[in-house]
Amino acid sequence: MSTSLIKRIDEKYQLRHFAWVVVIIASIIQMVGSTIRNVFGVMVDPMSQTFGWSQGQIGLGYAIAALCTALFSPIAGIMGDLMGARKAMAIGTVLFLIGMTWTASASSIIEFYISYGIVLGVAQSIYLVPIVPAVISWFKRGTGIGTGAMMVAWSIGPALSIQALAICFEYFGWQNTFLIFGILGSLVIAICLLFFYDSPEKKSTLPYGWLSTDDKSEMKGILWNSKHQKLIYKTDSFWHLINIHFWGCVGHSVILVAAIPMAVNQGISLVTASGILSIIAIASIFSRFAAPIIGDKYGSKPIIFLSFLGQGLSVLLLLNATTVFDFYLFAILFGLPYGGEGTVVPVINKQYYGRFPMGTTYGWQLFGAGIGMAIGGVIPGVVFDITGGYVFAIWVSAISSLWGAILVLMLSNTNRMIVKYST
Amino acid sequence: MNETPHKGLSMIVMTIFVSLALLIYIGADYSENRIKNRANQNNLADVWWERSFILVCPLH
Repeated sequence: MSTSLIKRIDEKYQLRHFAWVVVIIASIIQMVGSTIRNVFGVMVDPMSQTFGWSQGQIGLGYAIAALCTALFSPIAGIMGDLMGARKAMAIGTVLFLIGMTWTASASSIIEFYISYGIVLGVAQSIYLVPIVPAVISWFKRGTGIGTGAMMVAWSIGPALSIQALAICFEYFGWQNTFLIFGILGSLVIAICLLFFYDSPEKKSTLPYGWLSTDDKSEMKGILWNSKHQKLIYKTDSFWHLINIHFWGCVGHSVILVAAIPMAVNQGISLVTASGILSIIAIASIFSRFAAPIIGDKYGSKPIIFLSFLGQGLSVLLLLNATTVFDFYLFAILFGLPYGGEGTVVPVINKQYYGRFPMGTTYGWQLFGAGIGMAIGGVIPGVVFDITGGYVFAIWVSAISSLWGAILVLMLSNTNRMIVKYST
Repeated sequence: MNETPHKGLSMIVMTIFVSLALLIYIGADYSENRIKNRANQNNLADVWWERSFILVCPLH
């Protein structure tokens, strides 16, 4: 790459602005924090062999963790708004360390449910919720590219770390891996937090994209307070966004859980069928990056509507899918809208509510998402047990996403803020 | 700006009702399936949650 090109990119995107450091730190923290959840599938067999627990018993630990993350999300958001993302995540790091080391030494299923399910579930919500609004607060303009960059790192990170952890499980055993990863992960996050600032105000600098013509009074009065938060609660769009998150997550979690069994049911080998999730992951990286940028530039409502519509309609391809080509084509057509569906939301929050701290608002949205993921994840298995197939589950997924698209139409326009804060 | 976000809240209430209706329907279907399977094996055990789902669901 020539020096002039780097210079041009630097001029356009202000690569030396501290906002990018915050984006990188947020990506690292999220990657470390979410890996243990993403790697769960690899843990099941080794744990089953060590303790003789059934797959169902171990799976319940995952469900408890997912539910705890969802239920604790609003509290994590409030913590982020009241004490700042940095302090909230420091508490999350302590919980992460306790949860990881405790899980490594757990000897009963109840201990596993508490250490992995509750402690790590809560730690996950503290990593997941306050950091996104903190990153967004670093951008006056270009929120889309900041969000897109962070979301892409979140997709790529776990994909790489899952492989690394799977190898560690093989060589060191799952208990040692939990212990080592718990200590190293906590250390990495603690170091990252030393360089992390909740907002440009706390570093006495200006946000990314700030112009000399911008009103400096905007920099004042962005501390969280319940009076302004109540104004947000009084908007229809606040409730619609929780609802939209819920239906969107029901829609895609059904597919993420059932896509491989559906393909295997059609006589496709497990290894080939696994390719469906890989293709969905790869296709979604593109839209995770592009959707926030498009939403920021041209308005978020059309892009989130198209994402929900695409997610709902593409699922219907599975009704007649029988060959590898059918499933892989579905994976591409589903992965693109799926990636864009949730990543625009932080941008919408900024468009609706300005630079007011978004932790509480985003926490409630992730609460809806978490409950949707939990419900959607259970549906395919139950439906298969009853009907011996997945047709009903496919329709539930499609209708959920299409209903989400209808709810998107009820959102206010994103071209102006929908609350007026009094000073 | 609204004093009460009627639209937003009513859609949330609708979501809760639809989810509950779906849960009850699928739960009742699942229960009926389990009871039939047991009956085929001459096992007439009575499970409280299966009975509850079928009792609550108007379509089963």
